[in-house]
Formats: sequence, structure tokens, C-alpha cells
Amino acid sequence: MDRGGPAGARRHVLLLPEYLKDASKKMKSGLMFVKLVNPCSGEGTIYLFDLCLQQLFEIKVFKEKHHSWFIDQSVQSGGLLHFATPMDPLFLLLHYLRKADKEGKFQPLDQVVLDDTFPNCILLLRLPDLEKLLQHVTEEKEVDKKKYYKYSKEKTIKWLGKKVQQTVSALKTNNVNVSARVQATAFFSGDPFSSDKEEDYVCYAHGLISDYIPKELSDDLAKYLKLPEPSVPLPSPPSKGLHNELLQSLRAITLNLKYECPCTFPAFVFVQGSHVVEKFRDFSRAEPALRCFFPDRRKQQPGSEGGFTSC
Amino acid sequence: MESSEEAAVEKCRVHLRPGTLRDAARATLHLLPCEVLVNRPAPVDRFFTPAIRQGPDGLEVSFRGRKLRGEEVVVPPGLVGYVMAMEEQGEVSMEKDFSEGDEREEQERAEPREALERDFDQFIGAIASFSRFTLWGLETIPGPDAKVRGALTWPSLAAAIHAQVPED
Amino acid sequence: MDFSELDRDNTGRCRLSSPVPAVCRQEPCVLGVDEAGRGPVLGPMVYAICYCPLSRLGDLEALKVADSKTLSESERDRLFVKMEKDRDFVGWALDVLSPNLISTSMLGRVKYNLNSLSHDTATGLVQYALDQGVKVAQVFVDTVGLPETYQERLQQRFPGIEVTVKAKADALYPVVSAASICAKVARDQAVKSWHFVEKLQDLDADYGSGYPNDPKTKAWLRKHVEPVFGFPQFVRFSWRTAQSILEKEAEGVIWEDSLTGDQEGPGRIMSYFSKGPRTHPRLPHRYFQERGLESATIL
Repeated sequence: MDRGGPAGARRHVLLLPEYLKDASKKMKSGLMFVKLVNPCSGEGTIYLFDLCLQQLFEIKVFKEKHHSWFIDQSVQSGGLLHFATPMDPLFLLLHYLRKADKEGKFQPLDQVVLDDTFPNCILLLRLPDLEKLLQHVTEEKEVDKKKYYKYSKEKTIKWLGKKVQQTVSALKTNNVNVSARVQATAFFSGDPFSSDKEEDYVCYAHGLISDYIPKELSDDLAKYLKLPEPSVPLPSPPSKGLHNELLQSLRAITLNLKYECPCTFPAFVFVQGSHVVEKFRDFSRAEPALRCFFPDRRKQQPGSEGGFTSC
Repeated sequence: MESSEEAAVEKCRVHLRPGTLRDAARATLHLLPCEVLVNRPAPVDRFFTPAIRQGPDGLEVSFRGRKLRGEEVVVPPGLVGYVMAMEEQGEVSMEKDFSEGDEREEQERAEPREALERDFDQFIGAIASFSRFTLWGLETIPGPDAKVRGALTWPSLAAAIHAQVPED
Repeated sequence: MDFSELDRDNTGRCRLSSPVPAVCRQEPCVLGVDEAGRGPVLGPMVYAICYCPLSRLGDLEALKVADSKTLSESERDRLFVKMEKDRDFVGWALDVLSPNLISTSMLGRVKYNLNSLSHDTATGLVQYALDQGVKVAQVFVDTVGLPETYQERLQQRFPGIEVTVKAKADALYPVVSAASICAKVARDQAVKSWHFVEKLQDLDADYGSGYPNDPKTKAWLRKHVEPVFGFPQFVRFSWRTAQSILEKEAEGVIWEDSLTGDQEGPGRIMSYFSKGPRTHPRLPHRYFQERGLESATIL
């Protein structure tokens, strides 16, 4: 039986909360995917509304290179797996409240949550308990039984601080490895990473929350949490052109690398003697996370191909 | 939301037909460690399934002459897996045509349909559901460090991040 | 030969053997090693050993065993039946290496080439005879690759045994001829009664000799291409002939270790570099990166 169009068509593999299925009994419509502005990146991003349950869901997609699905008697390239998880709408509302704040006055919410590019943002206004939610991030005034709101950075930062706190406890109960050290093994384990410091948790939680807010707010939140300055930016390289380009790219790689097993690093870097390798070698001397790739040549055993196997 | 008209994309709503969530038949899914560069029918039950063996450390099979080792992955509790398909533009849905009259009335009182569904909107429906799938690794069992296993822990952390903060 | 084990599962390796004649546990024996079905793109490869006491070599020669390639199928079958009758002094053992095992070995991340697979199988069979209590004194092996290095390796592995590796050993030594007959009879029988793992419709049994240069074999391969799965496991995917047919007539499949133009090498470096950090000003938090998660921007 061919359900839902031609068998060669694209299929979407999605995990949904089970209660959506039960709630769907009472509804004929009101479940919809729409594109809204991502409060972190500013890009259009997919969200799911359930207007029956009056809930907003975020859609994350699992993507790993070189994967495909067999779904019954068909093959689907890409191997994507989507996750729909409940999302706090305040993160999306904040984007509009902050924008409206540039006018510096109290405004009713329906004049704030407007968007030419993503007109579906008005669906946010249908979510329940908005008045209560908005107390966390706005000052409000009531005139003739109508509420007027104004973004409050102080309240927002405090609210975000609480978000970080509850994320920290969730990270602990979920045994998420938050330490910055290179960890080649599990995402989680029976060992509760007792060596992880409170600061690591706060830092990690701050990073997670930062994926839902603009950079500026993230920086303010870091100050509020008294997090140390990020150590990432390296001194600007003096030269220009390809060299500069390479270093920038290598820095990007390094950032990724810090959190991955060095052995998964693609082998292309090890084309001995190439220009790229030499640049990479120079760079790796300055970057401790990379040193294992290029052990000091003087220490190398004759005939050995370098530090690849020792990682 | 795959559309060539970029401007229309942002306005468009993709309505998920709620009824399909209940009626979806069970599907068998395998996540393969390779990119097959096409979406198309494939005789999985004739070529793949009969070749699966229970090896000493898990499932074994081969695909295109490469050895795969695999294991069952269970969808975390509280979640259901769905395979969804976008309805073709102009395709007439059974549900649309033959809505039961009495329920419809109640429905429309609660939410006038026209307000949510517009001409340019699209529809998507679940065509199958699943609660487990087989995860395959190239020559080695994916094991607890498989990325997708990490991904499956996201919903429980997401719930904590997005829970309302306590009042002062 | 009892192929019931092979019928149950022909996706891996299967060993068949005769009972060990009592005399072979008492007297020094000569043992021959040969294979059948190394070249074909279809079906299993069979490695066989045959052994008898040095004192009974004359009786084995009296059977008029000869290189299996010079014998017709019915002659080989007749000779094998004779050897079975002489089970009081002739023993044999063989390994059937399924085409699937050959494909997955040769196409593995760490390539396991056919020579190594052959050498290891031969070594395993000699060891098997020893483990069964056969007093192996001399081993004669038909060559695979260079006889010198192979002989050296086998000699090192079995220091107490006199090892001779030679090209055309199957024509020179009756015990190798006998092994070649065992191997060839087993390969023919395995191919004839091959139980396809796949549930195939309209299977055409006329695939010719199975050698890649046989037009009938090539035509059979072309006819049985399945766009997603390629071929049934009866085909050795690692053979050039099979691969080039798939390249043209099946869907593309990319593995993480695939060596294709734009996946590896300098091209990949440049594509990584050109993306650079500028187009993605903020990467997702490491929690998401480590789990391959990102925000969905299209459905």
C-alpha cells in the first residue's frame, strides 16, 4: 500500500512526545510546523505549534555524515532524525520585546510580536499564561484593562540566571560530561564526573542557554554569572593572505577538536610535507589541544610515522 | 517546507494531520552507516532482512559487500517515532473530504478552521510509527558512544531547560 | 559431503571434514593443500587439505588422482567417491569461504586481500589436522603468490614439518591432486546447491563459468543488479567486474572511508576552509555538536 505520495518521495523521521498522539484525538487541526526567527542565529527555523495543547515545540535535527534510513521497503538518504521537544516561548518572545524596546515605550504585546519575514509569529500570542511569563522579562503597565509591556534587561538576566541554575541541576542528574578536557568516551556514564567543578557546570549551562538568546544577552549573562572571560581568541596573526585564512580555519577546527577524540580527526591533515601540514604544525605548537598530532620530530622514533597512533 | 519560492516559505504553515498520529502503522527502520544517494523504494525484506544474523556481539549483516554490525535502539520513554510524508500539492486528503459531521461542528466552535489553514499551506501526515530501530555501524557495533545515542538524550535535558523557572 | 551446515548459513565460513583415519594418528603423514574457485566473481572459494600416511602414498597414487583441472566433473566425482572408500587411510578437511566473507574481507576498512585470506585459511587447515592428532610430517602446497615467501612463512609457522610450496603442485604431488579434487568437488556442489540468502524472484541459474571474462557471467551480473542492494551475496562485490557494473547501474553509496574525488584529499580541505568560521558566526553549543544536533531550518 502506498501511503502519502510516491514511494520515491522524501520521508521525515521524527520523534514526538507521546501525549501529542493522545491529544490528537480531540482535534482536526491546530498542529502545525512554521518558520520563525531563531533568537540566537536570527535565521528562519522550524517550530511546531500544538494549538490544542497550546504548546510550542522546538525541532532539532540529528545529522551525521554518511547515514541513510531503510524505512520498511524504501531507502531515504541523509539519515536525519528530527526531535520535537517542548520549548519555552519566552525565548522567542524576547527577540521581539528586545526589538520593540528600541522605541523605548510600553506597548501591547500584539504590537510587539509582528514580523514581515515570519508572520506566523502571531501564533505565539495564542499560547497560554503569557502575562505570567512576561513578568520574567518585562515591566508592565495596565491601562483600561489592557496590558502594556516594556523589555527589562535586569529582569531578563535574572530570569536567565534561573534558567542556568535549573539547567545545571539537569546536567547533573543527566550525568552530562561538562568538563572542558578532551573526552574520547561516553556522553554520559554511571560515574557522575565527580571531578567536574561547579564552575564547569555553570559555564556549560550558560553555553546551552546561549543557544536560545542573542550574543549580546549571552555576554551580559556571562558577566552576571561571573564567568571567566572565554580563553578562545588567539592573538591575531600578523601575516595576511592564505596564511591568515589557514590559521582562521585551523582555529575553527581546533575549537571543534577540543571536544572530540583526536583520533577521529580526518586523516587528510597528515599529508606529510604539504603546505597545509606545515602551517598546521606551526599552529599546533601554539595550541596544546593539537600537540598530540605533531609530536616533536626530535623525539620521533626512526621510521615512525608520527603521533597518530599514540593518541 | 521545501519550496522554490523563498518568500512563500516563511508564511507557509505545514499542517500535521492529527488523525494520522493515531492511525500510523508500525514501520521497521534501519539507520545505515553509509549515504545512499537516493530516496526510492528498496526491497529491504528480500535483500537485507533475511541476511541479518545474530553474531557473538550483536547483529551482523552486509550491504554492498561491506560488513555491518548493529544493535536495537529503543526510542526513549515518552516519545513516539513517526515517519512523515508531505502531501502532494492538490492531493485530496480522505480526512478533509469525509470528516464526521458531529465532531466537525464541535471542532469548528473551538477553532474556526479557515483561520489556521490557508490556500497556500501544506499538509504533512504520519505514514508510519516506530518505537525502536536498528542502528548499524561499519564493521563495529555503534555502542554507547554513537552520536545518535547522545542525541536521544536531548529530550530529557530539553525538558529541564524549557521548564518554567520557579517564582521568586 | 554433508553440506547441511552450509545450507543453514552460507554468509560466513564453513568447515567440512572426513573422520581422521586411525593410522594417520600413528604414522607420519604427507598433507596436500589446494584451492578451488579463487578466480570466479560468483560463489564461494574452497580450500582443502588431503592427507595420508607416507607409507600409503603408493595406494593414493594407485587411485590415479590427478590435477583436478585436467579431469572432467564426473571423473572428479568418481575419484572423490574412491577416496571416501579409502577412508581407512585418506583423510580430508576443507573450508568453504562464502562470497560474502570474501567481499567483506577484501572491502574492509583494513583491507584483507585474497592472498592473506588464502594463506591464513591454508594455515588454519594444517593446524586443524594437527589439532585432530594427524602426524603431519610433510606439507605440499600449490602456490598462491610467490612460492618463496609463502614457503618461508609456512615453514616458520610449522617448524617441525617439511614444507614445500610450488607452482603446479597439484600436478606434481598426488596428495595435492587429491586435495584439489576435494576442493573442486566441494566448490561445484556448493555452487550447484547454493541457497540464496535473498528472496529472489525470477532467478536465472544460467550464469556460465562464474569467471569474470565469461560473457554469460557478465550478462548474468548485469541482469541481477538491484539498484539499492547491488547484487545478491552470491556475488563477490570486491571483484572489479562487479564493482564496475555497480558504478554504472546501481545507486551511489558513500561510506565514511570511501575514496571519491570530492570527499577526500585537497578538495575536502578546501571545502572545509572555504566554509570557514565566517559563514557560521556561532556554532551550536558543544552539547549539540557532540550529538550531531542542530536546529531544523527546513522540513
